[in-house]
Amino acid sequence: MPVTELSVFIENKHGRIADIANILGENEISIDGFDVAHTPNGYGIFRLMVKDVMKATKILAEKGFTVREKNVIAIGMEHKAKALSNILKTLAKENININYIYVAANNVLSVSTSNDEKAQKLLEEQGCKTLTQEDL
Amino acid sequence: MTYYNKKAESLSRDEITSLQTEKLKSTLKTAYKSEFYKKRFDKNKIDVEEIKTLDDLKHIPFTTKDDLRDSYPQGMLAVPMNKVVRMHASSGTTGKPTVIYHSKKDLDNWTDLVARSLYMSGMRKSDVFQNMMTYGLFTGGLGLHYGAEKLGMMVIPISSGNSRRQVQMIEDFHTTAVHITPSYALHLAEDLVNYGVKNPRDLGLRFAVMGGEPYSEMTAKKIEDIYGVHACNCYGLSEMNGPGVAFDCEAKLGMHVWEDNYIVEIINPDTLEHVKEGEEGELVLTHINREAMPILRYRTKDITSFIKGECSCGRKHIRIKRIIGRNDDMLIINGVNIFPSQVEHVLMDMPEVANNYIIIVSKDHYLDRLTVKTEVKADIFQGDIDNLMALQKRIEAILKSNLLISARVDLVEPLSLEASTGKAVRVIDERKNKF
Repeated sequence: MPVTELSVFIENKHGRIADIANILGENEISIDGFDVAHTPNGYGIFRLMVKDVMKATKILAEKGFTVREKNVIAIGMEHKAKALSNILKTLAKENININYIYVAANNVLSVSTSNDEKAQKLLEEQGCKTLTQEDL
Repeated sequence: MTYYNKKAESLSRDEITSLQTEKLKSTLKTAYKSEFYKKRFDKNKIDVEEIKTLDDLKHIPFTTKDDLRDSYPQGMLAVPMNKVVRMHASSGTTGKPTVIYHSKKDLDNWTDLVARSLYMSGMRKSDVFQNMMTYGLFTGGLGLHYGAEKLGMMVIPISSGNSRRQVQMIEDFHTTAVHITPSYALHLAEDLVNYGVKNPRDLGLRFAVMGGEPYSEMTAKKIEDIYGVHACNCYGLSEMNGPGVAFDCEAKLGMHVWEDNYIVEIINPDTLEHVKEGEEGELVLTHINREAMPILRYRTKDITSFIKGECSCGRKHIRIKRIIGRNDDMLIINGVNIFPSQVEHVLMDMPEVANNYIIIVSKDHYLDRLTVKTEVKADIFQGDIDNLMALQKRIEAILKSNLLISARVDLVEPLSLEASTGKAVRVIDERKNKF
């Protein structure tokens, strides 16, 4: 089962990410992982992983943020040589493209691909440990 | 003193007055043939036969850009379409451009005005004229082109942009006169070193004809100093043909308006009365030498004042000061006229765009930059960057095709602009006092 992450549309200006972190922090929501995608045109996306997706979405939306929930594959990676390359090779061999990828807390790898369902199945077949929301 | 068009340029004040009176009468009759002026004269009970002196001009209502837009595309045309040989268009205040028609005779007259203007500034047929203004619907390209040709100069119709090529042409064809916007002249001066030119004076230029955007005396002096040229101030607007309405003479103490073609007024934009002599106000022009599309008492929105006294060049055509600004919201960006309403028109036509936007005009070194920050609707955000970037590029492309210049588009969060600036502020011009 995939994991749900949050994508927040942000303008590239001082304190915007800090605002998000503050709001979640004040509501006792811990950020388990995050990534920022940005453009040269002053806007971007702040992606974040949290355990309680519904609560986080609701709070951010109430504060005026534009938030979307998106599914990604979360993999519990071993901290050793070739761990990442094995995962990537598995996907590449089957012509699965990576939209974006980032590392979250506790060596969790978050991946969005061109075909998540197939990717997750392949990775599990290779013995990778895929995670659910509760595992984060 | 030598003249290009001796008869026109050496008219005395009395001769100018009587010529203007005659031409005004015939122009009114021509104008009455157009749908727009027929309606306007009839409505205001103006009998063209009753207009007998220049003073009577005050009975004719002003013509505005809105009138041009409302009569688009043919409402002000005063001749059958088959007498028209060219049209030019400029930015309207909304999506529609304003169009100006010319007959063969109109173009000949315009060309004569430009040729005598260039001559008056000091250019001669032995000069080589590189026209760095954009060709096309704008009048800066073709207007100067034909005038310079008529004068007998070799014209290089290179149009704007591509600095490397501009420099190559100047060097290979020994260009002595350029038609350029002041901002591009300053930009090019810094860029020259990249094309192997150590000192701008090495280019051997003698004249820089500059118009298209307001610039200060200081900027003119700076460009003269950098390139070792005579800066020739050139004023015009497409509604009144284009460049060649008013021009510096060699004395460079104000621009002569060619009064055998234009009746010149300066009004207080609030009271609409003539300003006192020497006071600043809005320039109002009546074209008295155009048959296809006469325009009467056109409010240019440009702010200037008359210069008193006689000019040392001997010409009696009245002089106006350098244009110091405008009394509307038109923006001039690298010589191209933009109305904020044009941007709004494009944005509000796109369902993905929310209601708030800000137009920011800034200077990147010497060139103007246009940035449009616009809010997007929340539902277009699907959590990935690709569709945002696709939307941004699409808005940029549509703006480019409508404004004819490039704008950078920054997407911002829904409702963020309203919260940060309030709705009233739509334009931030960071260039103020910087030209």
